[in-house]
Amino acid sequence: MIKKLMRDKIALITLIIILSTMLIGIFAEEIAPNDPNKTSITQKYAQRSQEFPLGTDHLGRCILSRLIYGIRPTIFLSMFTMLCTIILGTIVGVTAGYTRGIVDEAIMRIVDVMLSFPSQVMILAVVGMMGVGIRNVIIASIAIKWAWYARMIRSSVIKYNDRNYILYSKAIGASKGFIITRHMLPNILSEVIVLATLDMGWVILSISTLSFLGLGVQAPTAEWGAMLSEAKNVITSHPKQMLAPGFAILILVSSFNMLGDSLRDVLDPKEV
Amino acid sequence: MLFKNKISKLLVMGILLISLLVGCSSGGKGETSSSDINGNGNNGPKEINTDELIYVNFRDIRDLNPHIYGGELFAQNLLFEGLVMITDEGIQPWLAKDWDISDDGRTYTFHIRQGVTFSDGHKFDAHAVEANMQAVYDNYDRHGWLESIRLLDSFSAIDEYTFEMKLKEPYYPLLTELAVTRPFRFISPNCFINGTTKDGVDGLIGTGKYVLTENHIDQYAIFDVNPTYWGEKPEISRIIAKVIPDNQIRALALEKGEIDIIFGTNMIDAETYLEFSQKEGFAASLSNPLATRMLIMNSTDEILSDVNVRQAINAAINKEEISEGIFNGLETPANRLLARTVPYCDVDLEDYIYSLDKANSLLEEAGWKMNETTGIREKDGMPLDVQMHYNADSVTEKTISEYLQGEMMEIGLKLTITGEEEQSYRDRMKAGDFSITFNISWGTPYDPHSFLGGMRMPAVYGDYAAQQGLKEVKKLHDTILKAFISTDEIQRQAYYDYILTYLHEEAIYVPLTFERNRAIYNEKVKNVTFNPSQYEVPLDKMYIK
Repeated sequence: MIKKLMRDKIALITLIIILSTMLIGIFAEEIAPNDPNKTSITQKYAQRSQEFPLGTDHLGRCILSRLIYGIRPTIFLSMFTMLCTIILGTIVGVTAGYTRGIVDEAIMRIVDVMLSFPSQVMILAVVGMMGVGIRNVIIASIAIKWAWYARMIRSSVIKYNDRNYILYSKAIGASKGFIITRHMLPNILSEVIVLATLDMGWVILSISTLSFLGLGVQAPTAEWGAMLSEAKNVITSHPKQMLAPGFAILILVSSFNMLGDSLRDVLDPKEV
Repeated sequence: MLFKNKISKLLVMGILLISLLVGCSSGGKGETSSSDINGNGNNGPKEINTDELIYVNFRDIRDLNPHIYGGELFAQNLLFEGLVMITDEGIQPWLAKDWDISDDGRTYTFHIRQGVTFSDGHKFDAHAVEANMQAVYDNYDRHGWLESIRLLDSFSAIDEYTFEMKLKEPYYPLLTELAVTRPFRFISPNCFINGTTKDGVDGLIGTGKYVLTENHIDQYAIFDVNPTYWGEKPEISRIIAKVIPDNQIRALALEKGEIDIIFGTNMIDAETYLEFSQKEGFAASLSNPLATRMLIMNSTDEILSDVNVRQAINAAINKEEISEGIFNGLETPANRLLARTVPYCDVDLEDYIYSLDKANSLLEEAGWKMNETTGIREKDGMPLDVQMHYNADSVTEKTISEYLQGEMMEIGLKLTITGEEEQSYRDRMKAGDFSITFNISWGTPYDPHSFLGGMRMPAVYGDYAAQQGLKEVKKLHDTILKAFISTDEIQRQAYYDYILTYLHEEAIYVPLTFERNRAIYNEKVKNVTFNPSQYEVPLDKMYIK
């Protein structure tokens, strides 16, 4: 599978972009040229220079350093959100798909209700109720998105339910836990990975959007959406301010989307 | 299949990218060409519409009832007039032709101008004045900041054009309070509901130069000139007040010619001001310093109740840098609560000086020890973490907050900042539910008496709540009252000396800069001036050429 992935150039490039971004994020302290929160108002909107490779923002903070430190909330919080969503979605989806009957009915009707709301609006409503802050944004994103995964995973589980090897396992009296962990999960995992990668872009955008609106990450923490929001305030006088965070989001989100596409191609059994 | 898929994907991507670039460039061209057309249109043969001015505000005009505080001041000023007005030359007659003050300073007799009618035809006379005064008085609790209401003994119309007010004590700022935009302005008694105005009004009929023709909530309001106005009619016959909440969109709208003028301290940031002051076809005006932009600290807060901490914060703020860096020198740094030029405020005080050493030693003295690993000071395990709220609708407060956040880290104080929409921000202030927040002196002509008077009453602004932790708070508030009712100039000055010195030493306020009002506008708008009060917009004096 990995070999096949390596042969796909787009997948390779996007994977390198994503992994190197993550590495830069992890080693932000070592890589960033300046303290991202150090203000020096006399040097605001400075041009590119040795000291500030991408110039400075409205408070004289180094844009490159903020971009690098911004990787942490942008990628890692998105991944954390995604992970939680998938775990929750998988548990619910497998439970519903494997047990069927009344439990399945009950769970799926709840899922129907959750899916009937537009997700962005629901997140805004949840954040409005629970208060501003990145923690609440993550909770809201998970609470909205799990239903979607639960439904997808349930349908995969149902698909595998009638496979011979599972019927055989049931016949010889293997425990439910064994069947689920040994037979079900490996089968549905590939689909889950594809879904997750495709959706990472959505989560990054969602967190950035909310930070852009001032609901997510709070100052002075650097976050790409929040940086874009600050740049927006000077769109007429200093339009260049938007370039760095804007391109960063664009590249990262499209990398995730393209990687997701390639993964789907690679993992799709019909392609074999 | 895989290969084919890849090629097609690359193709699609390529097309998208190209279309993106093409879209951008053609969009750019489109913009320039359209602005060319506009530019030609404005300067060329096409006549400029000299009858219409398009003004902009960041929110709806809301409830313009002149006797309460829920509407936009600029609009109330267009519709409603008072007995007297404040000009740069002092108090001048308006709806009152002239007035007499008794020797004991307690009885004011106003001679009402004749021949004035409300725009619905109702005659403006001493009885209309009395009815309005009664309506204001009915809402006694709401006007806590106004000493003149509290000290009012009786008032009545003596004859058709004479109105008399009697006070319990002599009160020197009475005429100023009668002149400011609210609440002593006159609305037609036909608009009263159940004989009063405190529960709302049925119509917005005043004697002013303009009448409200239309209002589309959160979009725009139209004011037309009052055809029956008693005095000289203004040059501009129609004012359209658009609502544009975002600073950048306002600036773009001005550039595009969709609006003619942006006016007000919180509506224009320094960058935009400088940009438009240099741009061809536009002009900019700056007023004299009007008020003090400051922070207020809540003395009942667990951390800020210590005067040393408050003084440390005061010493750690570099006002020069705020003035230069954020305001590009438009606003001068303030080292005292009220400028020396404000009446009664030329008091000798030791200015707050920027000194990190002093700030650090004050914090050490207060028992806050530096935790080297976090960089934040601690005392008994509690970190030095202070909440700060700002008004997200203001164009500069967020920048100042973020700047201060960085500055305060230098002395080991963590400032957590939260922005709120204007109304919830004001509600929070009044409820006293804050640690540090922005504050402003009321500016001329309210300073110092209304600003100080407001401190005595809860629910005016945050001052009352913030001062509750001071030891001498009762004495302070009593002295403020004494200063108002004192008839002896020297005695009054002595009271003011105490008030200002005490506030200065307790360091409950952090003066930042002396605020200046500003306007940027299309150069066709002429005679853009500033009234003594920063809350008024002299739209009626402007003309278009």
